[in-house]
Amino acid sequence: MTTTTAPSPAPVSTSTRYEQRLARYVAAMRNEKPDMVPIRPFVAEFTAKYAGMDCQQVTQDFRLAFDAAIRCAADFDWDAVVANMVYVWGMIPQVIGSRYLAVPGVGLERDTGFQYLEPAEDGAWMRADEYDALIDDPTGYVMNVWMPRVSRYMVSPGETNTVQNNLAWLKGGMSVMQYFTAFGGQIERLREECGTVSAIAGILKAPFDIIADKFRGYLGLTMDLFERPEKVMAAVKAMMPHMLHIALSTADPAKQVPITIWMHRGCVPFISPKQFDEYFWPTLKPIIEEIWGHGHQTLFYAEGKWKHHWGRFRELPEGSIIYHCDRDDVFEAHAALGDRFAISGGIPNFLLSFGTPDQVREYCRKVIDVVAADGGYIMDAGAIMQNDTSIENIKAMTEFTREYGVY
Amino acid sequence: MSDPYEPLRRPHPRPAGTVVPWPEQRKDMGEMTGDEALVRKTWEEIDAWSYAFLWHCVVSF
Repeated sequence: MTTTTAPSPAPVSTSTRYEQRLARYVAAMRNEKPDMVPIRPFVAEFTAKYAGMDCQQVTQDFRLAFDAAIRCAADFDWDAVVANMVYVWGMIPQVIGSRYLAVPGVGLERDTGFQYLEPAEDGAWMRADEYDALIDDPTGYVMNVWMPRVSRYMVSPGETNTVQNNLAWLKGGMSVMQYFTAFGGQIERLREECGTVSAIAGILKAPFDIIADKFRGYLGLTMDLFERPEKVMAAVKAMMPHMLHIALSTADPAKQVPITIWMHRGCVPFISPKQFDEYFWPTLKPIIEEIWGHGHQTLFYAEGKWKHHWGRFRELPEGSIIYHCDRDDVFEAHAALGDRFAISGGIPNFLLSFGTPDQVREYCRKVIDVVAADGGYIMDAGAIMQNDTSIENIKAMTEFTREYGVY
Repeated sequence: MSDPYEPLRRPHPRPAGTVVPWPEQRKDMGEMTGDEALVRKTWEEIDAWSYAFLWHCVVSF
């Protein structure tokens, strides 16, 4: 790693810059050594703060969120960003009448990020005696039981119909279609206006996580693991083809940027090592392998600490994942996984929010010296960056990495 | 799990990616006097959107 400032690059066109950044980012994700350490910050509500907006604006109107992301991508020398990391467009839960998503400016303070409201154990969105219905027909269960239950407006088949019900289905479908269709234009803007790569494509959740997150709740599921374990296993298996389909249906056709799995609570100590080995891993691993078989990498966005499971992750085909480090020690993660997979992240969010620019630079120096020494590292914070993140510190992380992270 | 891939391959009357599979919809459409393949293709495209809506409410929103 160089100890001198990189020479000032000659002016390049936006298209050339895009190609350079894409090559740099892809090389690092393939665990190769690019020309310099790529920077791919997952900036969420930070974009609002930088663009002079608040959380309500970027959540309520995705076009403002797109503009804020573009503003950041234009001003910072980042190789790749998420087209809109404030991913939940507030209009969707509003037209559906969602009972579990709280949106800034509507019940929440307008400059607070959107919130997921965890149900009480006895108020889970799926009842304990409904496992068979979910297992037998997952999509039918989602449509006929789950949606009407999580919505204030929708009604189940057989119930008295309402105007609100009709409009919730109509507007819900139209809003999702409008939002997803708009991403194509946003990705083009990133490329054409900023020369910046859209960092990810395709979303994945672990089948086990989805049962906990959206159906039984964390408390409900952990009790079910003792009271009806065979039903849990059958339900988790029933989720597998749907999680795979959702992931592949929005993946990058060019197979350059990864599908992202957002990993929440499927790890020790939320569940036991035995439960991880019996439920979480055997029903996720085939999906990752199938995705790899289709030519896509998966970005393991490992929120929290997943050190206990690194041995399992090593079972995956070499290069099939990029391991994103949140609260794990990034140096340990590199030592344990770096021979098989690229590493990203690991810069502590508290440092980026409350540290000084010198502290940020010093931490980045260590990460570049050790984790990025042979390539295979992408600079980023541990977790998505919200509006508590210091602009000054993001500048320090970016500029230092660009100067010091040249191979 | 004996075959870890089995849950991904298991046949299902409503396979992943569909809400109303074409064979079911076809029964409801009566005599097909024109190009059935064209009808099927466009039906499946819009059906995939309805599937995406339902499952992204579960996965994304």
